Amino acid sequence: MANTGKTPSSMVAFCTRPWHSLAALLAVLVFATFAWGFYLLDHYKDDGFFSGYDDLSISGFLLRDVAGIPNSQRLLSLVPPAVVGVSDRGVNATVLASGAIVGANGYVLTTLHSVASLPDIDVHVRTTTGVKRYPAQIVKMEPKHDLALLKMRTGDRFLFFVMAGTQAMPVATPVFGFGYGVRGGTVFREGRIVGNNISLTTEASTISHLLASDAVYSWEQNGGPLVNIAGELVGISIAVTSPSGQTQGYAVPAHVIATHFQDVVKFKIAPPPQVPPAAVQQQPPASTMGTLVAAPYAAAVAMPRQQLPPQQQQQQPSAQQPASAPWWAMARAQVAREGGNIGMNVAAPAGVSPAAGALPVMPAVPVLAVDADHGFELSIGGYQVGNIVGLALLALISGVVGGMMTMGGGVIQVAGMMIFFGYGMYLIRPVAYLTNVFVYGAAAIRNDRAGLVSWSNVRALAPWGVAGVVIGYFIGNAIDDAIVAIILGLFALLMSLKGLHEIFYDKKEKDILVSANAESAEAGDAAVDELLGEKKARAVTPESADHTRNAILGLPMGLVSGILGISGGVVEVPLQRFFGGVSLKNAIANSSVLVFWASVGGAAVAFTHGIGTGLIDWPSPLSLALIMVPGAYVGGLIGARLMKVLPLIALRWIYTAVMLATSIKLLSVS
Amino acid sequence: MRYEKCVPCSRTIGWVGLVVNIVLTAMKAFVGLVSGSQAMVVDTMYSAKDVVTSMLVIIGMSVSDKPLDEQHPYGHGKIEFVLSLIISVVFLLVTGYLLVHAIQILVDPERHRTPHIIALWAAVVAVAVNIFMYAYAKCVAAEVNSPMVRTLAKHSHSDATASAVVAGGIIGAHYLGMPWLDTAIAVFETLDLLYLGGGVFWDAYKGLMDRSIDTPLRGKIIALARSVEGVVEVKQLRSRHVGQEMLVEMVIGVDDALSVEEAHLICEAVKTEISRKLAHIGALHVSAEGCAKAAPASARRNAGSDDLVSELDG
Repeated sequence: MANTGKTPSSMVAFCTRPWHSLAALLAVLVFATFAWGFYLLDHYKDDGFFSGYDDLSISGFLLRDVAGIPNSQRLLSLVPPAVVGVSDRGVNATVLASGAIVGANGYVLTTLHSVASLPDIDVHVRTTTGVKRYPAQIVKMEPKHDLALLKMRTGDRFLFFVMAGTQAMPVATPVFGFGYGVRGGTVFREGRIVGNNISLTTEASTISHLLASDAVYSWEQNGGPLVNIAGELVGISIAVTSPSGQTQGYAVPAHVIATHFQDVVKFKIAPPPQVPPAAVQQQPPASTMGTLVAAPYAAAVAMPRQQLPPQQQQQQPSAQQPASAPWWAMARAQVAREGGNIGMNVAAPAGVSPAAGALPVMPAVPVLAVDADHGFELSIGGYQVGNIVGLALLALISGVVGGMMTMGGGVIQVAGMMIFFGYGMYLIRPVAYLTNVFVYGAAAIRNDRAGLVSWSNVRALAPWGVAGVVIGYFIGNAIDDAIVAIILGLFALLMSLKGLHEIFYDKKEKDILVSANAESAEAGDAAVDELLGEKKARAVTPESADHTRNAILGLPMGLVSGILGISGGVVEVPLQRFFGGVSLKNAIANSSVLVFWASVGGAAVAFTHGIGTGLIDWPSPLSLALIMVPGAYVGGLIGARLMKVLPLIALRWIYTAVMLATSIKLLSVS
Repeated sequence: MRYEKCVPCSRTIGWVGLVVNIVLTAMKAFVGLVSGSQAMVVDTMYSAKDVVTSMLVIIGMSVSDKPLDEQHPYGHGKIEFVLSLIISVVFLLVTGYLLVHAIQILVDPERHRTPHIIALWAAVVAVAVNIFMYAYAKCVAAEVNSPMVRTLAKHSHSDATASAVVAGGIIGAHYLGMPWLDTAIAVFETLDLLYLGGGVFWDAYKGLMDRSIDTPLRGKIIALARSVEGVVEVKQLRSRHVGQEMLVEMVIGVDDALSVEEAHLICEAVKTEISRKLAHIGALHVSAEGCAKAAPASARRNAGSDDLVSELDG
């Protein structure tokens, strides 16, 4: 103790020194340590220190398999398990597009137009036991780049692509276009990058920042991977029909993909191409490959070498041969028969294509065009700062709307995540449940402190609410996102109508509001107590007496919440008021508690079922919720404050306008 | 105690220490596993030990202070020994495992890996936090003169040293090209921890076996008893620990001409004297026996007591 014992009792007492700031500093340092640790956990794939981690990436296999520089033949033998086909769910459904596995736990990228109109999606994967079909759903859409991220509904692990660095992709870089052929074979062509940073105007939209490549020649490659010599994903191919009827090949580059989807998938971004010789030597020898990966996939890698028909390996028709035209006609016919419409990228007549029939080489573009729009943004935990702000803002707005009128916040949140961020309902639902757990938990505590919650009522209804949300969750999973969007739009429409009603029949409503305010909380409770026979026979099975009534009061809210991911207060408050005969304030208070319990149930089911079946990964919904919860909470407080400050009529106009806009947007999109 | 603030300060420091050590334990374990630093994982055990010690003190204060009841006429003090024994066994097993693991890595040069640099950062942060806690506890210990807080200060000091050693090891591994140093320090620290844990185990074992209290303390008790007017000799002294307290039974020799009433008064005087001068006396049982020759008490008072300890110890 002598060496550091500088504090004899005669010295200045500890508490008289500036220890506060020191303690705060230490706390920050400890916090920073944890933050760093979690960052490392999150990004260990990018950190050079953890190079020896076990991975299922194609490029990892290429390096591991044979030392030295991989050639195209080796690519052809390794890549196919990560190239998938995407089809409708029918028994004989034709593969409509290719896709690329970009995450070991079953994330698939493909073109959005290929899957947008499919009610159910199946992904065809080559495995050791032949082609296996996995049900999949859209996790996130990015219409601007015609991309869709799918998640296969399974806990299996897959060989996947590492993202290549494509910010400055030189023209003439050799690339390999892969596709999943109609009969399950591999469509493959070696080519080059012939243009970069291209904007393409199709009939549907304009897609920017594209690469052009002559390695994409067939419709079957649509959505498939464009791969470089190291087996890294350069881009997702888009095949476009030029006005003259020829197929032109483009690709959405990897850095654009990473920018838009890294909030869901933690992509492994390839290190710079110069692999130091030492790193290659450190790779385990080929003989240990089987022990390094999950058994089936070690075999899956070996399999295609025997199974791939030799003629397909040689299948490299000339660029102008419209090899897939018959297939395309067939696929279209099939989808049309089922009432759908298969998207097709057709270049607009006044497109950028400089010469008909030839691939657009952009002479004006410098060879090293650096895309400054993507990938240079600061990102935190995989989220771009812009996205974080956007999500927080959305949560804030939904909170304000919810706090203002005590309903409709959930609709804004879910609709916003769907429309502006392109997330699928499978991801939105758990996020929404979690957000509601926090927001309504806080509201429930507030309401309980104010003595507004009639617990006897709530206790009887809560199980029904939870049951409803569980049933709703599974119903919601079974139905299509488009249908959910329509229902959601109808709800928003209903709410805007209600807003209008309140604006024009102000007098009457106001009376009720005032009387509800004037009534004490006990009066509401008394009414409920009376209705439930609480007063007279407290001990004699008061709650079980009326299951039908409880079910009517509790179940619909749960169902709505489960299917749509909204709080369900929209349904519950009127039910409580007009069917349960509770005053408005009590109705809102009771609903907040019910929503809380329903959301707890929903979150529990969504996470256990979702993770168990491979529907979701736990980090993405959790981190989304973490971003949104504070915004929603603060928004709720602001909304409640606005309710007191702004004139009621103005609030109602704002509310009605917002809801109307939401409903129009939702209904028009779907 | 110079300030009014010292009173609340002395009450909260136990909890502050507990919370700080829990956070440090979590941080060291987390960083140790993420960074792959053996020494950092072992260093976790130092903080974990402090957490457990603090908890034992808290449990000791609540459970062993429970009043006597019919089932436990001697109180609940031994719960502390039982808990210490169990915890020290677990502690020794975990530390032993870490030792074996560290040695296995140490002897296999292929497994020597430089830990991630985050471990160095975390070690430095841990040193800073422990120095802060040391200064804090030292101040409280000095102002309120609490041995328990002094122990806390001592632990913070040794933890800071341990973390500093870890930091040194990582610096060596990182910047001096000695990746084995981290593991070597892990081995060294596990040995230190085994020694410390062994001490806790031995104390708990002694307590459960009703081992007598330390010789110097026994000498003190005998001397105190003898200093009382009317005590001719200390015939027998039996002592044991129950939790934080000591239970003492003694037989004193008094002049056999005295009446029972007088002898009893002398016994009471001995009790008062001892419990006034010594802390942590849980129960003190003094009985008197007559003894033939009554030497003047003042003459005996000066006699050294150390030689008597061995012959009287029961």
